[in-house]
Amino acid sequence: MKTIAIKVGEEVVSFSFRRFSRRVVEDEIARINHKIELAKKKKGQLDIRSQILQQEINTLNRQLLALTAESVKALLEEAEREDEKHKLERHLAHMSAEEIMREFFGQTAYEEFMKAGEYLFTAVNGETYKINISGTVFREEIKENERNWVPVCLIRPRELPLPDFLLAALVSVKQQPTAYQPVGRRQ
Amino acid sequence: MVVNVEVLGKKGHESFTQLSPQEAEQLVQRFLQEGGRYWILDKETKEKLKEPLKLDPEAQIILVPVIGGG
Repeated sequence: MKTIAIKVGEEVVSFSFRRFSRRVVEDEIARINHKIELAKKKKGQLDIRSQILQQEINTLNRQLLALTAESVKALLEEAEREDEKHKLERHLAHMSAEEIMREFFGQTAYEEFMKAGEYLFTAVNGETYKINISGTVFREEIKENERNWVPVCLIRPRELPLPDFLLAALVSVKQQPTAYQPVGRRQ
Repeated sequence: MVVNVEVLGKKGHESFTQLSPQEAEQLVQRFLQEGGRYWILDKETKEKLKEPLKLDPEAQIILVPVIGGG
């Protein structure tokens, strides 16, 4: 084993060789050059990755600054006010819808409907239906002396408050029962 | 001579009061022409009114949306 120490600038660099010859030193130089090339390549890739990450950090910082700006707070407050306004409007529409339903059913029938959770009615074709407080309408079917309630298909418009839908469903089925078929059955 | 018309619909509830029978008939026609499908009911009797409308001077009517079915 041969160990050599060479001063390079202020530092001392040492090598240990099992055999010390020109060939071994040239091989070592080639190996070091190869490692330098590999390291440079890796550094280049890391530099690119580092640049990309820096850009990402810059973008995120800009987004953060934008979202914490005073103008966003003002926009948020405006959106919350709008939301409150819509909630109030929906509440008033619901109250108004309930009032109309109460008026339409009559106070006693309305209270019974709310208490029982369902309301029976006869359609113009003489068939018996019931509507529950969720807005599902059922048709009475009697088979072998057994009474069954079969749900019929109604499409609830999204904008209609539930009390309005209950009233509209009741009137629609009552006036035009054949337009509503049992769920899963079509004629 | 006062006819009141109440409309249930997507826009919420709309009330039209103090109308003459002709004004009320025109109003109902306007709603129907706008593409809405409504049951036109007498608010007192809950009966469906026949078209073309011939309203009494004291009529109280309500337009209830027709619900689609399947």
